Amino acid sequence: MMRLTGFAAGFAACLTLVLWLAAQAFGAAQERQVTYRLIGDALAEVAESGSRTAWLAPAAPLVRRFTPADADRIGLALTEAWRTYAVAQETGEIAVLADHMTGVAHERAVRGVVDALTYGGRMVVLSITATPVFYHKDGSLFQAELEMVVARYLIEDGELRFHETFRDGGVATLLNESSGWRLFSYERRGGSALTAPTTQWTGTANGLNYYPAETPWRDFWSGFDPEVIDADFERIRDLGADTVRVFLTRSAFLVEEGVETAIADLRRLLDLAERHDLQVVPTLFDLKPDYRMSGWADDALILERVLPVLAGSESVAFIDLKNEPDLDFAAHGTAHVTAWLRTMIEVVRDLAPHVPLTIGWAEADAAPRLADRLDVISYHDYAPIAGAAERFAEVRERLPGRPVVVTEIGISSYTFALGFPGSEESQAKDLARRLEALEGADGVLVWTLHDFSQVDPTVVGASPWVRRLQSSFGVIGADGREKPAASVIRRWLAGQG
Amino acid sequence: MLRFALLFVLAAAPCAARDFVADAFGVVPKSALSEDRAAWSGARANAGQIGTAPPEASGTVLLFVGPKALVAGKDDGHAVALVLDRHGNLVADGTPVGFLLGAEGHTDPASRFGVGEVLFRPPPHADVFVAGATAGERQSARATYRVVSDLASAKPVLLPLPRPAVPETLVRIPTAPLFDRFGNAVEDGVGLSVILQHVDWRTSVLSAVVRSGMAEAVFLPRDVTTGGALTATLAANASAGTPFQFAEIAPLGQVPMQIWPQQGIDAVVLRVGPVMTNAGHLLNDGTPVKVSIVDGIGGTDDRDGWLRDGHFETSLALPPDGGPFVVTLTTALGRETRSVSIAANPRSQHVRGVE
Repeated sequence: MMRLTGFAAGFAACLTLVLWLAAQAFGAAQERQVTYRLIGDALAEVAESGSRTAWLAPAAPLVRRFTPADADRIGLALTEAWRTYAVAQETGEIAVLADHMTGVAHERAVRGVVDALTYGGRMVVLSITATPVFYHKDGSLFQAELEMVVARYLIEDGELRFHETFRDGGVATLLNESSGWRLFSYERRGGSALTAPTTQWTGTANGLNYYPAETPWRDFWSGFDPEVIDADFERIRDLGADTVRVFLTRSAFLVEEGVETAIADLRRLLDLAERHDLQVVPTLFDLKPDYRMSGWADDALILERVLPVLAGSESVAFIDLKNEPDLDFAAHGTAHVTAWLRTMIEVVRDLAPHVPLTIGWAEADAAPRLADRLDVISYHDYAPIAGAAERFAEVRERLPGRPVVVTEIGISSYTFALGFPGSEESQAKDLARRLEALEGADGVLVWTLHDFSQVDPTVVGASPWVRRLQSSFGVIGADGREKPAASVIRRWLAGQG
Repeated sequence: MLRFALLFVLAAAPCAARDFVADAFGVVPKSALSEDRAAWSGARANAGQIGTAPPEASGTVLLFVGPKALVAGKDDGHAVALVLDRHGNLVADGTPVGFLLGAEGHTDPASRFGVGEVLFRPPPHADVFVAGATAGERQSARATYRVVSDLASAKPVLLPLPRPAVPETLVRIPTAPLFDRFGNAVEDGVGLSVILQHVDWRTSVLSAVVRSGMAEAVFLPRDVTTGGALTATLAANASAGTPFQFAEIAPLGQVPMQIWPQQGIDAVVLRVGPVMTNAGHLLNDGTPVKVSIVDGIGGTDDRDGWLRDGHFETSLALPPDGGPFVVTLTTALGRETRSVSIAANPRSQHVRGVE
């Protein structure tokens, strides 16, 4: 008897140890992975270098004809000068300025970089439109009036002390030297702040986050299949949803090769949603790896490309500017990320003033950030269910009268052993509890429609734990059958209608 | 609750107008604005208000004159002054700028964005001119520009050649002095092409370069014996044709002749050659040859044949002791008559090797 008791105690101790170790591993795997295995995954996509300067016709004839080749070369010189200025402020590498600036502009840029490094100020040129006003007969000297969208901000002691986004007017003088065109002088002559007002959003947004089963994350746009999306939207509608949240991968709308196809596919997706009577919440800049200033002009270019499509679609409910940027605070600095967000908010407002805007914060705590500049308050709720109602109530109290949408909730049905860490039944139960706790929200979007057979390790991390967990958040299993959670959602959505 | 309150304040803080100065190259705290940066003209935002700081009076005048080679009577030059104040700011619009271009003065009364300019037509005589610009009390460094001859109006003339060309001998083909319609000499280094169109429609192409107002092509005739007409071309202008002739080919000195007894019979062997030309080669294989011989005792013989390797050899039915022999040789190069005495057979001489 004593031997039996001892054996049982030992077995229990071993089992406890195994489960404890598994729980530790599970817990560690939940930590957001910020290291990469391959350098290619860590590097941000950049658009191919080229002129980003848009040209208007001269108001009066020039002494020397301004040809398309001149527009390319001088436009590139302007683009590169300001891009290099952003790099120099970030890195402190003043020597690079001489490649693209000379004379007065070079002196002032050096002063600007020194002051930037000393006092924390930063300036990024997001877009350039130029009108030629002077061109020497022998092609040696050129002037243009510039209209530039410029972000300026200053971070001091880790806090964002100053931020503005301006549409500047100025005069640029360039010299054609032995190494090509260089910026000789730039003078700001005026400007106005980008301060388009917020707009209103009323209504509800209940539904699901969406990737196709076989092409999630980075594969979505490259593997775009309208037939698959059509069928999936039908399933979403069949569940009773009125909204689907989709993700515009940054690289798909930046890299020149393929961008025309991506934009056409975006139109097609919005048309499909409209056909199925679904609202769309497009989430921009997905999988943006960093917030380097040298990439902000690329981000503005992406907005120029996608916002006309989104603003022109009846099916867009509101735009989610960025998924979970608060998770980037630790790696990239709260103030720096906030400066980027404020800048992009203002650019979106300028380009699409009538489209409501939100930011999909990862946690309820972050929801009040930048609320005065947003039309919809949104956050994700993966925190313990026990506090879900309280968290929601706090947000409501802090931001009375504002629409609040919880744009991600979910739980994995992945089972390792003995119903740990989850199961399809526990998934259904937990979803039901959380949805009940969020009763009163102006919308809830469940993560996600499908289980995934392939989970991108560059997105979720290489840990097998995490990849298995992330593969099973769907309400439709990998075999295409509805899991119990689907019934929960169907009942909930029927109640919302 | 406090945590949310803090977040709300933080979110609003950047909107509050503190003392920051935002200018063309960024933003700094007003208290940290350096003296040189404060002197930058243009728009500057401070505490949310945009103001424009004006530039000062002219400090530096940069002069750009071009194109650098203006064709006489055709091209306009563009004189441009970029005027900055002592801090590097573009001077105020409307600042007058004066130019001195050669001996002529010009003014732009209303510069814009720091640029004053004038388009000018220089006088049509080729030269290097000095230019300068002034704005206020400042003047630029000197710049230069050139007026060059109008090549399109310069008509080349080839001078006649003093003598026919001889094969393998350099021929110099000069032009007359070259001028444009304003009397400007064509500049050194300008190239011409000289073409010799042969009577048999072949073409020889030469090039010439102007030096001291004239050009000269150099031609070495080789494997060419037909003359024709020479034409020089400068820009789009061609000269009239100038005759080009070759001197005829002549023998190069006397043709060696040898006569020796033929062994075994009462006859002699005659050998003439090598038949050399003033073109530097043997007269061609297959060239017809005629020899007529009269010996000292009234005997005669004639032979026809052709050259091989520049030589002709034949047997004559004349007794070896009938010399001396008067030999008349006729070829395409002419006729030659000489007295030749009998000699030993050159092929019977033994060559002894030496250790």
